Amino acid sequence: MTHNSLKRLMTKNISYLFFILLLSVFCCTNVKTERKIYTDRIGDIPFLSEIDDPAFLLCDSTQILHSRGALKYANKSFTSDVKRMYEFKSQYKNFSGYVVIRFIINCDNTMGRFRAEPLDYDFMSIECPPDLKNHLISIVKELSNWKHTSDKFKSSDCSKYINFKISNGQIESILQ
Amino acid sequence: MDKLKAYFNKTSSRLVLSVLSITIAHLSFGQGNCLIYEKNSGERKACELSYQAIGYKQGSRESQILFDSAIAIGPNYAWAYYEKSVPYFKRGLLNEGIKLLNKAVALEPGNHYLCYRALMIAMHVVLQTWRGITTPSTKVLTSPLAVKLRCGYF
Repeated sequence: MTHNSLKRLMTKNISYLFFILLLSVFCCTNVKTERKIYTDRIGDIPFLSEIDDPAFLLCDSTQILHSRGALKYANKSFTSDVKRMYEFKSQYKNFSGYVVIRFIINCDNTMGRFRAEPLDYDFMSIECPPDLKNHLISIVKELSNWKHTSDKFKSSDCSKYINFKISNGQIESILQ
Repeated sequence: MDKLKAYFNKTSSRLVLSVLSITIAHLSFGQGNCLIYEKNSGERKACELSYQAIGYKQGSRESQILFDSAIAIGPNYAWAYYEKSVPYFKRGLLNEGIKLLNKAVALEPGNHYLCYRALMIAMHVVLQTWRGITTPSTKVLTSPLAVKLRCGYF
């Protein structure tokens, strides 16, 4: 094999190699690298310094109990209590949908880490007046009379959610 | 003696009914057999990954990541979307839940996912307006219990 033919062969190989490299780079950039970041468990509410009270602590953040049946409001007058505290404002009038308030009750029976999510009647995200969100959160904060349904849940931090159904700015019903 | 006999008859028939309904529910609504999908197909791999996912606690990060892998490999495998949606509904993350469940319903409209969606809506919509319904028959028919019965969730 002459020097020239060897050189030609190498150039050809290098160009092939370059082509493969280019193709792989092109392919990789087209693959969706979108990877969702999850909390340890769905429903965990991580601490956010901008909105959460740093004094509210969890007894064991790795063992938050996510069970709807773990907590029950002690008073039967839950709905009427909430409706009594609710103050309608004209700016709420255009809002119809749900506002889901999620929060945690720690093992000392203290509430914290409140989150509000407004949804339309098909459970799709929508905007709602910030005042309404804050007002509902402030109402939920007042509802401190939660009881564990079983003694075995007492030592755990529990998550809870309350779903407010709002129609033209008025509370139509509440699911707890 | 007759009373005792009647009691046992009642208890055993209840037991038989419970076992039967659980078996029917399992056979009708269970994930099914991954072997029905072609070897090395996306659905087969998605099915196997989903089986791995349910080995972890519901809603755990590990299970969700495995469901994501299943969906990435077999995007038409409805059961992965449905199973992934369940903890979201249970924990008040209704938007994430419905997006996944809608996908499962769209892929397999004839499956029980439609029923599960009806139940979730019944829980949040019907249950809330339930008190406002005056006709007793409407009240019974639209209750989550009725949806559960019609869907065989017992």
